[in-house]
Amino acid sequence: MEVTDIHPLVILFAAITTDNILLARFLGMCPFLAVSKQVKSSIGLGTAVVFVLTCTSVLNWIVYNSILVPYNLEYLQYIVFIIVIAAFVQIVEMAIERISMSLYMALGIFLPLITVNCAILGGSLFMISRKYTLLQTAGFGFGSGLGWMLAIVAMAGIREKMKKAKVVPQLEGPGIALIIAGIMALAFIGFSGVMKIN
Amino acid sequence: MKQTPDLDRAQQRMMPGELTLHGFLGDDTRKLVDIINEDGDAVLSRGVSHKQIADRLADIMEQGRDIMEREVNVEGRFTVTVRDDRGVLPSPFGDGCFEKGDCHVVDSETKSEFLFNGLTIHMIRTYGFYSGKGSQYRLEPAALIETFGIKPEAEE
Amino acid sequence: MDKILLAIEVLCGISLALTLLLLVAEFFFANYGDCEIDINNGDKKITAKGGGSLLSTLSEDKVFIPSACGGRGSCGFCKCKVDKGGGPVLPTETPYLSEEELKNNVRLSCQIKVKEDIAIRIPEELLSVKEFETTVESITDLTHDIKGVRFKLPEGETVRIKAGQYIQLVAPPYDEVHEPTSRAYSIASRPSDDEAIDLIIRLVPNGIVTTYVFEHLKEGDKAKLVGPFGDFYLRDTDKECIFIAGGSGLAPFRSMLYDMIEKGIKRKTTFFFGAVGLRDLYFVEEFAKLSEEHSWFKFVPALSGKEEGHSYERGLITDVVARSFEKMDNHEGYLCGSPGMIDACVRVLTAGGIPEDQIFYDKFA
Repeated sequence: MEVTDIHPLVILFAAITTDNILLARFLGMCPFLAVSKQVKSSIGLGTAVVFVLTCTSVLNWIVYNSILVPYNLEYLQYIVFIIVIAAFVQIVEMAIERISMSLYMALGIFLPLITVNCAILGGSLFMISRKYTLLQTAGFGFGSGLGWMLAIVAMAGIREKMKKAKVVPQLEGPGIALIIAGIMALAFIGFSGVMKIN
Repeated sequence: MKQTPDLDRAQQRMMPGELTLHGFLGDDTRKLVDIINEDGDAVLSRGVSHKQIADRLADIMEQGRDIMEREVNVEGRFTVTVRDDRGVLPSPFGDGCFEKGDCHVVDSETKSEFLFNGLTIHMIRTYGFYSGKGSQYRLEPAALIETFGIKPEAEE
Repeated sequence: MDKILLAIEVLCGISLALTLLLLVAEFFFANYGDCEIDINNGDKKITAKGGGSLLSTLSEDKVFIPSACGGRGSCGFCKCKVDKGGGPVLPTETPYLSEEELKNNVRLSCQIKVKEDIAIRIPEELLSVKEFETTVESITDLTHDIKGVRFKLPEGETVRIKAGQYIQLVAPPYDEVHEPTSRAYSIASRPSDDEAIDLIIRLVPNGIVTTYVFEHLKEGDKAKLVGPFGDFYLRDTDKECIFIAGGSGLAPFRSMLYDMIEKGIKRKTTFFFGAVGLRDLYFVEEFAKLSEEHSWFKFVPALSGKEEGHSYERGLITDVVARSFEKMDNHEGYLCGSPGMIDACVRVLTAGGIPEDQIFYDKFA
């Protein structure tokens, strides 16, 4: 079966579960550990990641296939993708500020921080290396975003419960968070092979 | 020892002229984390807590208050003068504003002097910070515990 | 070679396209045009470029809403009533607003972005808050740790104050202080003396502004004042007044007394001035003379120290006040001094029968 034959919806669900960009690929770990102390703020960051990841992977697909490929400049993809992501985040920030001040305040610093979230760049690079079509890219971007959000919200939920638990002092904070992330990753890996995406 | 960005920021705000005229560090050039750790060890090794020390100082200050700011003899041993200045000082740790009036204590037995205020008490209580060496607000934990008779808390 | 050039061209092209896109987006999203800010139902109208915070936009037009944190949304001082425009209440504001205030459209002006025409209401006296570039006319030693400083306004400028209000003195960066620092001081000059401002300043050890005044400020120097602020002024009733001051707290009462004399207000007034020793007294002759000239005014300095050789009242100011009145059923209290003194005096006055809402003092932060 060719990659192009896979239905975009399958890619979407696979990206959420079996190929979860965070727990299967360990991309976007930094904010995952830093912003997962409260469910509320992790939902905010998650929403922003879903939005930006979806839009930038589509945008980058277009830029890559209609500009870089015709000129044989594929090796510029990293720098171009980052520029596109940075510009896009800026526009999103302005738009949200104009449209909904309360959402803007809720997202706060997370919004500009997304620019340097490696899950976003990772999403763009995967869709290139796996030779996805535009629709598949959209499904993959959206799915990866949702998957990332699912992971961070779950993590935040666990960490909120963890407050009541006694942790060995040496492992408090990031230590125990990494261990939890590892166990969560094990659980997600259990799904692998259910859906094929490349 | 490496310190967190939070402490870096706090240390920056402790420099002279940032929040107060002379700053909080005196001529102490060590990192904030090392200052806090060293004093923390001194306090812990004597079996007491920062909170106990802060509570005791706040108690002395309360007893030494006088609306005309005169000297008050506290517990027959300490000569306490508390200034009652208007206004508040922001904490370098960025967690609020605290009373700025200074409390000056002279111990009649050892002749040693202590100077603190609402803000420095807060910093002892919350961060275990006793000001840098050479600062006029520097309090030696060992001397505090000794002079003010702070006893180790009974184990829970 | 061509390949390198091509790469550079493409990269530049993409960057250029994105920059243009950003500019276009900014033009659509971030351009709010000129917005009109209506203050107090047309008392003052400001037309300003949109996009900034209400607090900063107002201060650019010399309308100063008091703020302690400088617009970071952490002090909750810069409240104002927003009747029109301003958008929804933000989560950054709610911690500082009571339910009552939320119902009345009270907002934090530093959190509101000016995006449309806005109608606000602020206390009237804030409209007369201005920034003054003054010259130090004289510095007088009043006691060992209190100085009187007279600031002359620039030629042709006047200041409108209510007797009892305070003003902020801004000390410029000096020595190791890198930022201008401002502190509030009560005004000691009377409102009709509107070409200058008198302040009475007590040295606070290690205080940034007082140290500047005591060690650096000289006659002839320039100094910046911002104000006046505050709602500590004589209320319009005919009750008997009890003024109580300690330390540098004498300032607002000097202003109020001269104002009463000029306006012909003859309410019975007793002014208690508490100090420790003779060396802490100042302006005594001036007030003694006033009390000789005006039968309705009585000046009572009280010394709490054990010093001999004076005929003033003895004892703590609170005790002196308490024993001076049999009952305080038709009195108003006005207090100025250290927080501890104010608390103690409030207790004495309420015990004497004055309701708390008829005791006035400025606890400026």
